[in-house]
Amino acid sequence: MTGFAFSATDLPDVAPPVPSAWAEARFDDFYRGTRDPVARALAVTLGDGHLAAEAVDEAMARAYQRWDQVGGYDNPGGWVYRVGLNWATSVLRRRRNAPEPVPERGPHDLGPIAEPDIAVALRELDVRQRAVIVCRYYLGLSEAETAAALGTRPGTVKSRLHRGLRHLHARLDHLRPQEQ
Amino acid sequence: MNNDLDRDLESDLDSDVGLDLDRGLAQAAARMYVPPGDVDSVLRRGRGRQRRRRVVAGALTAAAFVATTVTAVSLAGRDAGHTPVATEGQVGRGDVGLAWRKVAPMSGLGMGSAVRQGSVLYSVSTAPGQADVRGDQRHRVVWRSTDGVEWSPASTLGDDLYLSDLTSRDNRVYAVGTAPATSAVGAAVGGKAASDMVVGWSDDGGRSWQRSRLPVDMKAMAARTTFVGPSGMQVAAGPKGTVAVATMSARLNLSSVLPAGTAVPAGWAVTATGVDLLARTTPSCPAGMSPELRGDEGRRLKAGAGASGEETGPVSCFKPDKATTLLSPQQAFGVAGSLTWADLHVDGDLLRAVRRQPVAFVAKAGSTTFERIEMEGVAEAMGAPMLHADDDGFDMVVTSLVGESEARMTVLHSDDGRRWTSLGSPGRGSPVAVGRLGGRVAVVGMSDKSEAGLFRSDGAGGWSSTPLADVVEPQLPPHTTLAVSSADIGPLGLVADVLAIPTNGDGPGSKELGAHRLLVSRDGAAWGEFDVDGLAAEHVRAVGRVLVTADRVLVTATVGRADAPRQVVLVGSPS
Repeated sequence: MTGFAFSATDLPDVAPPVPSAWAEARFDDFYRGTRDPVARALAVTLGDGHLAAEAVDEAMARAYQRWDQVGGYDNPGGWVYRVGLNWATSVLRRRRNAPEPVPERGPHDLGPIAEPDIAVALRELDVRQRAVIVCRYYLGLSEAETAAALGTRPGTVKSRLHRGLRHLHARLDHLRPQEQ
Repeated sequence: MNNDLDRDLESDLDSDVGLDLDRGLAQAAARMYVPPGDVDSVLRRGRGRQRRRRVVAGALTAAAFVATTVTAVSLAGRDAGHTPVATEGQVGRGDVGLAWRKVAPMSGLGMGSAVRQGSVLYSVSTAPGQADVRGDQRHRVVWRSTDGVEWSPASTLGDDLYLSDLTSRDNRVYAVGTAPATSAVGAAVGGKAASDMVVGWSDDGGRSWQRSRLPVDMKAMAARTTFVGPSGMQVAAGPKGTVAVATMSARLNLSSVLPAGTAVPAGWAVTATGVDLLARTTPSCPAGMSPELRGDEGRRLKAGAGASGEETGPVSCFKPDKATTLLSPQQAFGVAGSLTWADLHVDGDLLRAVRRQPVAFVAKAGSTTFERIEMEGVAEAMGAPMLHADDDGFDMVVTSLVGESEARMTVLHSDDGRRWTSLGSPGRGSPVAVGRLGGRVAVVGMSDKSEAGLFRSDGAGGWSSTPLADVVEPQLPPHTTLAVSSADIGPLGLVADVLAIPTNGDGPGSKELGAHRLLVSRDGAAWGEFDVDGLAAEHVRAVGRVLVTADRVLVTATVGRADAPRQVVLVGSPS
């Protein structure tokens, strides 16, 4: 655990009350506004929409338990993303299932650069690199915000971003149509 | 060096490949099927849990520090008001008399919200009604089925009606939900219109609907709130009539109810008896603690805001080592004065809504005229109460707060839908399903210890519990808990989809986690367990719905690859 990192289990160990009606109403707003983008960010990261839905709702339930605190964070959506990601990867480990296999691609699959190639190339990355890419380019977080959301150091974010982008570049470059 | 390289790489991706990562990821995300969420179920899940509790050493110091404290926020586990619940004995394995088959529907229903049984099944769902569980989620559709496997659309609902729940009785389908306020009812306040609560009914199999407004004066409430509406609605029909219930929620527009000349120096907070006007806009923390803590990685922890004139919630105070004490707004900001509900002229439905108390309505059997029921003795509720109707009348589970820190279930019964009596409390936690098992009122839910359980009433105020973790075999490994994701109690008994989940993210476990299992019991004593993957003969990614009718059990499951999901229905028939 690095520095100022939080996870679902290392939040300050104070017994939280069930949120008040006041907090519940605000959590309701937060859920309705944040659930879909965070769920989709997790879906892209995990390559599994159903697991993402389970993960985001699990993380949202934990956020609700601690809403008086989580609601005060600069980026509670980032906290939900991270807790959901941790939960999902933990479930995957225990299912002993490998991540969704990446389909074999033949020459006939090569074509103009399009969205599915990004999704496929992304799934070839380590999940931690995927998370950094998704935070930066899908959720639009800065490097510092990404570090805070993922509970890691900015330097780690930078290196994962570097490696992830290098891989995407190589992968997408390989798929790039030959110039005329 | 790395910065330059990153910029180069990003530039390469943009210029050389002609690719916009932001847009590409957005497109990828938009194309993925993500089952819709349900804030009510998330709230129920959150309420039903109790984190491991350790009292922070500074808690008492914090409470003593703030001299103006008027409302304490509970920091330690309390046991006041707890109803003793005996653990049920005589739990074992037995033949539950169900034979399963898998059906791949041609027109299966996706992850819909509500189904109630009758001679014909109905559901309201956003899913497309195709075996492919992907699809357009924009329109809510009422679906009809005679077997629970194949569904056909009965009607597509427009934007002017949002149904929350359905029930059917004697060839009539009832629905409850909300509809935009009309010129006659409701009012736009702060650009936000209050919705009416409506009941609808259909006598032609769900194809056409009539509707009427339930008797709640939304217009009067909207004028004095910044938001008002039901936080969930339920309906149940039986031979004794039809009952609809909703929990109202409202945020007071304080300026519209303040007595003339009353100054609001800072924020304000709702109490049981009225409103406290806070003294300051900046929170005070105990010695050695701060309302804001900035880490070296950009994370900033901060206490709640105390903006002038706004409703203010609890705030956190931090020690440098991250230890936190939660203060009530009164503790953190001080109290300049208090106003009672009478001072503010807040009463009736508005007071019920501010307190989040449920409102209920009843219609005689066969009637569509709904009257208000006064739910005396029901305290603040969280989410919509859960309803069940059968030949014996109606059962209702209300989840409410105990003090400020605990969620507690209370079960009510009514023979006629009008007069309700309490059956006591199965304990702290949140319900997933309610019904009758072995002639006793039964609730399946998550306890306050995050354990799935069956709770049964003795009819005289006492309750017994059966932890579902005691039923599964082999025993769960350490650091795991058994969660119930979906359940139903019907004529064929109780069927619950359960899932073992890690509680600490890293706990060791010898048993495979994350696999869905069905627990079945007709009487609460003899249990059968079925591996859902085994029933489906392939890996089940998600279980969407469990439905128990008079002659079958229907379990809707999603199988297949994440990018090519399919739906199967597991049908259990008496053997």
